[in-house]
Amino acid sequence: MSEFTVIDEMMPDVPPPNPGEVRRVRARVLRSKGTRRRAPLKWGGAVVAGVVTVALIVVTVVAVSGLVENSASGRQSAPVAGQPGEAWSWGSETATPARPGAEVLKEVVRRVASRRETVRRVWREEYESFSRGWLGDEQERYQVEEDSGGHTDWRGSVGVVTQGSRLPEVRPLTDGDKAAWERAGSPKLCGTTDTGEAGGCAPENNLKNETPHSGSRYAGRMFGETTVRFEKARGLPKDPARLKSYFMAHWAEQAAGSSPPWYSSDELLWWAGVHLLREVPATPGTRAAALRMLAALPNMRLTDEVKDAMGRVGLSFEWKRETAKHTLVYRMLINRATGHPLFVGVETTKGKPKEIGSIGFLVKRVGWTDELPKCATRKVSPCRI
Amino acid sequence: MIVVPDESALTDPERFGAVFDSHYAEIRRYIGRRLDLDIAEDLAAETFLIAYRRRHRFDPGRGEVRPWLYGIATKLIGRHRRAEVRRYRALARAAQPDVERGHDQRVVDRVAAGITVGRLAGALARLSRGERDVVLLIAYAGLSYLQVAEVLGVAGGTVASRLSRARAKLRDALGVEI
Repeated sequence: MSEFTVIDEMMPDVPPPNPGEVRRVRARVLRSKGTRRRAPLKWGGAVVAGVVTVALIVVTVVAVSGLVENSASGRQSAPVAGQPGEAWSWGSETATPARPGAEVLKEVVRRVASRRETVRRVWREEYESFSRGWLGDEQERYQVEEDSGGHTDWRGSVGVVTQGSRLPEVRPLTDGDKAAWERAGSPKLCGTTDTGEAGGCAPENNLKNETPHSGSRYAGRMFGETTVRFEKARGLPKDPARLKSYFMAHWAEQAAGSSPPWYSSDELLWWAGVHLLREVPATPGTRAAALRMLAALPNMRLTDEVKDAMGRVGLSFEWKRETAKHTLVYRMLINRATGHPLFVGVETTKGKPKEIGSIGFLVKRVGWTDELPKCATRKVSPCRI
Repeated sequence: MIVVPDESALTDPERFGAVFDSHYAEIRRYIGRRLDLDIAEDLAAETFLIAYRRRHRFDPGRGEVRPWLYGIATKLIGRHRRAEVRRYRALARAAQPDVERGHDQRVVDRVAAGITVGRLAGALARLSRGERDVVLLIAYAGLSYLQVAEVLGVAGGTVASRLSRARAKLRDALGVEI
């Protein structure tokens, strides 16, 4: 029956109920008599009409008072990260979500695990990436954002192809940053892919993405192998404990062949789970296990009804990690219907000046497809996928 | 703490409250994906009012509470069949890019290339009520054939034949198997 998955995935979804609505309906249900209503008496039309009118007035009053209550209790979105007075690209969360994140996760896991998928030719991920950091010198510092535009990764049985929509752009983040940059003489701003001084980029104006999150690359290397071998990805464990053991055994094996990794196992598990959900054509059971594995990381904060920069609402995973030199906040927002990531990012809030910053990925589309990149459809294929 | 309702004791109002907490959002979402949200909220409430009234009749030996609730909701949706079809037709008429940018599912992967929300909505509008109930109980609720049969109060063979006809209609409308 997996052929109907596309309906679930594509047809419009609805926003979650607000807490006021849930409370009102719950109270209405549990206060009801619990017996079938009698049919109104034939002569009682006028009475019934009167009752209905009164009921409508009551419902209107309750609804209006609910709105007032919601407004007064701060249900409107509040920024959760970023500089004072400025929402970070991460988005915002609802002050009082209707349900605890753990409860929502349970439902998402059940939905993901029972998902029927149709395996297609390639696993595709469309995303936008950005980095933020501080440039300049002690006289003038300004925060910049590197917007790398949209990218599409196509993962087939023999290789991976990445296509970008345009070259990255680096610009001051706010008007204040722009003013500081202009006071500094409007030096050339360079991004993470620029070639440094050889490309005319002064070190103090080259965003080198020094956020200490390189565990992502270390953990991701594992999937450089599994993504190009579908059969291996499809055989990953469907139980969170076994999935964790699989990852730990892999890294232990790696460490035995070279110097031991200097990352914490929790950090690697975070990135392994995130890479798996974004990039790996794993089975629904494995994807559900990855969500549970991530949720079990110590001090993981799960929050429902969080909105990303594109206004998409989902369940957020937020994990704060303190080291001797750094404070890092890892975030992932998932689609509650599919378990697919909507946003993934990490922010360094404590560290050296050049290390303060963030990277983020807005995942616009992820999943199986039969569409191939143009390079793979030509007769003489310059890309193997 | 996550409360897992004991389905064998629905007669207890507190236990029924746990059932409400576990399933209200899901049932509302199911109805809301088939009808306009303002109607959906009313019908979701009505679903639980009916379930509460009939909780003494629920027999855990015959199935789980979740499909039972979907059954009540599906019957209520049936009273708004024309509204549902009008909604699909409106979606089908709307400009595709705007529709797809405007709802929460716009970033969900499309499993089959070339299938748009508009075409899919148009195809769903052309299904009969019975066929659409079967397809959407499977697609949205993830119910099994047997559960769908139980929910709709029809034989398993009826579910299979409705599915077969629905598949053929969807394939004709979309040009691909979905």
